[in-house]
Amino acid sequence: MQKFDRYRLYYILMNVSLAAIISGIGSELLYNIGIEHHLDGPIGALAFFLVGLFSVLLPIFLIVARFMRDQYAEEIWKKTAKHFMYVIALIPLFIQIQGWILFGWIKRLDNSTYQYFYHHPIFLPIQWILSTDSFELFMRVWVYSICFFVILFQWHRWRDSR
Amino acid sequence: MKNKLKVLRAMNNWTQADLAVRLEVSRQAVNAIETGKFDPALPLAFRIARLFGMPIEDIFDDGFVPREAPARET
Repeated sequence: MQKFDRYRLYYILMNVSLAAIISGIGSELLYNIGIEHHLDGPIGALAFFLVGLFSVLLPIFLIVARFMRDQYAEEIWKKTAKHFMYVIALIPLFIQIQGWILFGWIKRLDNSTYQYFYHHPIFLPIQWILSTDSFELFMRVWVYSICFFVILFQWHRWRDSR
Repeated sequence: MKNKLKVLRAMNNWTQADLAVRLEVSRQAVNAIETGKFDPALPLAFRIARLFGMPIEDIFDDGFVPREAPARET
């Protein structure tokens, strides 16, 4: 395969990955509001497999496949990695601050106030962490991180193309 | 960085894809260089210069104007 074919393929695969991620997220959001896809049996299993393959395994390959990136794709990758690290650094801090506010301060107020804020959507991140089994939490954070990298990469690419 | 890549490409009747093939980069890279969103590293800049048979500084303009050194006392 010639170099420029490899470079072109990289962008095509990123597009495929983004499409799979959007399908997966869209499907989950619709399910959460009560709309099911009704893809049962072998077709449903195949669709689930393909979405999983292209939204998680493919991006992992694209993240490490330096040989498929030309200089420009490498620049976008570095920009993406830089902003990705900002998020990795800040989100846990944000959740920690939520914990301090909710359990260090609000909990000391009256019980009804605490209960109100504990179930408030603004504290959703920490609620979710505390209510999720640690292995499931680890897997979900891993998968969401991979998907987020692809979304961020494509966003940088789109911004440059304007 | 400003550059004359688009003009030079047009003078040769090349599409971005044609130029990308000659430079062994992606079409997106060519587009990003032309629009000034991406500055090529030296190896790619040299390839561009050799392809068009011109010095690098005639293709790319970074806008740098060297200051005059202060006069030395003799």
